Formats: sequence, structure tokens, C-alpha cells
Amino acid sequence: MNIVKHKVAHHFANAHQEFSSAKLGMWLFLAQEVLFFSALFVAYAIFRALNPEMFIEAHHHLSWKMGALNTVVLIISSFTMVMSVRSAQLSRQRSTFWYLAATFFCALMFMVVKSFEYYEKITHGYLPSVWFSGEGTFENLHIFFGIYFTMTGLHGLHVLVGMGLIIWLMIKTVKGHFYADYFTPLENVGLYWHLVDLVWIFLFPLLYLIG
Amino acid sequence: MSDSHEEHSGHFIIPLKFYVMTLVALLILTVITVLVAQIDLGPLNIYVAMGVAAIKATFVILFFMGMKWEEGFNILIFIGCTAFLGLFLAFILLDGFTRTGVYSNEDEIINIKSPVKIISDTDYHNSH
Repeated sequence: MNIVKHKVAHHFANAHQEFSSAKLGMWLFLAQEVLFFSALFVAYAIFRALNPEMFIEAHHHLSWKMGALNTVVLIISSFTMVMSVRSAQLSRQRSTFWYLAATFFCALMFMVVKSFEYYEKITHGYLPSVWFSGEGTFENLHIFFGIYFTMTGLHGLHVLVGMGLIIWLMIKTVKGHFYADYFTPLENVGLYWHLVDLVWIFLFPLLYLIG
Repeated sequence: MSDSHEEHSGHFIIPLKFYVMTLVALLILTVITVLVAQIDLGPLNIYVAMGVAAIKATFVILFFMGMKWEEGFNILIFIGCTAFLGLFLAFILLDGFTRTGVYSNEDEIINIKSPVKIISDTDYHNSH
């Protein structure tokens, strides 16, 4: 494959400064993302503290097998993502592309499993807030599903955005933009992708594995 | 890393073993967290689950996200962010878990109508 040489933008002294600046920006964005999700985790903590029995009852409606499958899928996708960045660092464009494709496939699989789960909840009427029409032994059961759909929904949205970014990276890889001296977009999308994985690492036990 | 053939233009390439070890560790910890959840440890379950999740998160951050080799200022951003997250959660948990009975009459005061179709325990267990 051919290589398209990257030109350092004129306002940077050199490629290293450009790379560090991009990563600094990415880390600031990720810090913001963590704080954004933290509000949802706090909401979870408050409602669980107020309704401990309801939460234990409610989580039986979720399939931990599906949750565990999605956890494994996301962990593997994080691995293929770092491998793709590494391949670019070694100027191996072909494997950069295929590792990205594997990451995309894992993300797609995650969304397919998620949509099966959502479909099952929706057909039973376990929707958030006023749309809830399901059966249960606790009158505030809908609160759990409000939290479930908000947290997994926003996380799923992040996965979808990630899938879009991975397609963009695949196109750039095919065009030969990434090689040992330039892989900034790969590196930063990789960081974003690991954050999506991180959020799921906490969501999985909190929603699916309540004791 | 000075004699490594994998080094280009100052970018440090993380040795492959770190990625493979992280992958294996994460998969093993996932199995552990699922297995522990099947055992009823009472209130301990949540601490074990969060402990394992924290270890998994540490692996992802240190190796997949490369925090181990990151520049000082980026580490500072991350630590600052985690500190505020901890502060936020700590105060909420202190409050949430120490108040009792405050909301016991709230439904009557605010007159919230629950959308949940209440069924008895036996009906519930028959239908699921």
C-alpha cells in the first residue's frame, strides 16, 4: 500500500508537539466524559441506596449471560484496537486495516446483542418512566429501567459513534494516511474506544450482577 | 528501547506482551466477577464486584490506554478527574446510605402514580 506523508500543521514546531497537543486535547475530552458518566453512576447509587430490594428484584429481568457476552466482546475489541494502533506504529497498513475491521465487527456484535436485549425489555413493557407498562412486585420497578435505559443507551450511543469513527479510520488507512510517523487519529480514537470499554466494565456488574 | 528495531521517530512502541497480558487478565477477571456474583455473600457482593471492576479498569488504563508511559500532564488530568469523581460519589454515598425513612410518605404527599402493574409474589414466579 502507498503512504500519504503527513504534513505537520504550520502552528506546531514539530510532529512531536502536534502529537502531544492532540493527546492532551483527547485526555481533556475523556476526563469530561468520565465526569459526564459519573452523574449517571451517582443517580444509580442514590436510587439503589433508597430501593435495595427493588434493585435486586429488577436485575433478574436482565440476562447476565448476554451482559457477560458483551463484556467479552468489548474487551476483545479493545485488544484489536491497540493492535491496530501498534500495526500503524510499525507501518503495517494491511494489519492496521484488518485489526480495525475486527474492532468494528466486535462493536457491531455488541450492538446486535444489545438490540436483542432491548427488544425483549420493550416487548414486556419494561420501558423507562411513564412508558413503563410491565408487571412487577415493586411499585417503583420503573426507576431501575429508567436507569438501565439511560446508562446503557448513552453507552450504546458512544459505541455507535465509535463505529462511525472506526469506519473513518479504515478509509484513511486504505488511503495510506497512517504509518510510523503519523497515527494521531488512530491513537485518539483508540483512547476513546477504551473509555467506552471502561464504562461498560462498571455497568456490567452494577446492572447485571447485583448480589 | 534504544536498540529496538521497532522504534520510529521517537514514538515508543509498547511491547506486545503488555497487550496480550492485559487481554488475558481482563478475560480471567470477567470470569471471576461472574462466578463470584453467583455466590451470595450478602452485602459483600457489591464490594467484590466493584473491586474486580476497579482492577479491570486499572489494566485498561495502564496498558491499553498507555497511561504507564504517558506524559506527566496527561496523567495529572486523569488523576484530577478521578479525584473529583471520587469526591462526587463519596459524598452522595455518605448521604444516600445514612438517611432512612425520609421518603416513606412521599407517594402520599406528591401523589405519584406508579406505572407498574403490581402482581403477587406467587403470580410473579409463575409467569417468569
